[in-house]
Amino acid sequence: MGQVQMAKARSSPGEGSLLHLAHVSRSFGRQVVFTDLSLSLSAGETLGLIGPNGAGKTTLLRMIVGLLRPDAGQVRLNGQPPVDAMATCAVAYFAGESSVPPSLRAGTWARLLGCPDLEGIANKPIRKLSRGTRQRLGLQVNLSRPRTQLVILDEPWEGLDPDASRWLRGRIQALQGAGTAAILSSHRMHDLAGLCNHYAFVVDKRLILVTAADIASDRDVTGEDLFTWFDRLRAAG
Amino acid sequence: MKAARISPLRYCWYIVGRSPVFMALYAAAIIYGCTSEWLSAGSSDAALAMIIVGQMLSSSTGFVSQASRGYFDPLLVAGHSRLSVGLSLFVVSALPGWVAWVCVGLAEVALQRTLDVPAFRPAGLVALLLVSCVPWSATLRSPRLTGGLVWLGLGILGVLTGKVFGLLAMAQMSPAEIRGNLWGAFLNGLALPTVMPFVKWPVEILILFTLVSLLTLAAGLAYIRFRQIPLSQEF
Repeated sequence: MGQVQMAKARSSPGEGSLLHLAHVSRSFGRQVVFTDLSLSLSAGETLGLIGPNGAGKTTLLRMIVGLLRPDAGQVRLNGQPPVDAMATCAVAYFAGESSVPPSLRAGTWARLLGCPDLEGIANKPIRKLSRGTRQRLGLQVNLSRPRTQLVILDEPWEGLDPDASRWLRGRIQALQGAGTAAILSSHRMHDLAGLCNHYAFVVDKRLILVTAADIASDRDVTGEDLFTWFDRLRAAG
Repeated sequence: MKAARISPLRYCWYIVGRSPVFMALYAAAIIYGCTSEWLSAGSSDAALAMIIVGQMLSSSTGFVSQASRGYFDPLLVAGHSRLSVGLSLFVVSALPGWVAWVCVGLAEVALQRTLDVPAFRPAGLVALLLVSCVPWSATLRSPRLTGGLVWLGLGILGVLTGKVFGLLAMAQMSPAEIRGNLWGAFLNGLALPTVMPFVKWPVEILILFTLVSLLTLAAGLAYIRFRQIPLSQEF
């Protein structure tokens, strides 16, 4: 439990960070999604957001990009509220394949978002693509933008085949190398393992931040490590 | 600046504006209007009524169903304000009908050799504004076409129950005669907007229709500006 408390203490927001959330709470009607959530993220850092379905991961990501407002607390991106920061801060956000409009052709949608030509599927209507291909299309379009400062991906591995999963991992690592900050939400721990500097566990409507070094100081974090920590934190309440 | 890379008008046009069915309907209305006008000057009223009906349906594009799937996320995350997204959505929803209206109007002007034609008279322009704004705003929370279909249904119900026959008679009245039953005339106009361009409305009713249109549009834009819409997979 000592480790958990230490991790909580580190979750206080830092100064000068790219992303800064302080004491954020959010409900939908009477349903509390999360309360008193704080975190910060600097350029080049990657945060893995872990939690069960319905834990509020999507809600949290949409608050970070200004699509939803917190009921209480502050969200700051480059020191500004997200809605204001979006005009100057290059953010790539992808909510999953269901957010790709099915009525368009793949190439049309990609061109609308400034993505260069797609090979193979450009002329195909999006509705006729498989779920995994739509997911890869959305990721490819969003991750191809130059000079992205922050990448936010909601369940990015959902529906991807092994080749596409490998491609995504490589793309994220390339972005990390270029100094891009990233938040990756997933309930599939093995996909996140070894890819992040920080892991945030959504447990009982709260967020508990743990660094990769807290989990495994002398080796890469594995999926099993994350499962162990998730179970431990959940048991600790 | 990243925001400059995605045009909200262009994006909204591709997401909600393009409908082959309505494109075909408006093309037919333009051809019909121009041909009627060419065969007999001043006989394109049916084409204008057709555009009014088309506009009631085609401007009913909806918003929440697309927004809750995340279709507008790329625009909002690119730094465009919700207001500019709302305005773009309105413009692309109304644009096809406006273009068809102007085309038929220009044919009327060319063949009647006057600017005083139904399409460009205040009553015609106000009718077009009304059927662009009201169904658009009324449909924001509902599935596509809802606002237009409900409005058309109420109009047909009014005709079938004999409650709006007054408007057909009003087409033959002077503004002074209509002024005698201002509110009745206003409600009749709302019920049957297809007849609106051909009635000699008193100016106060035209102002009222314009106010209703603009207030409805403002309410729709405010809804888009302030309403928080979670993704459908959220709670």
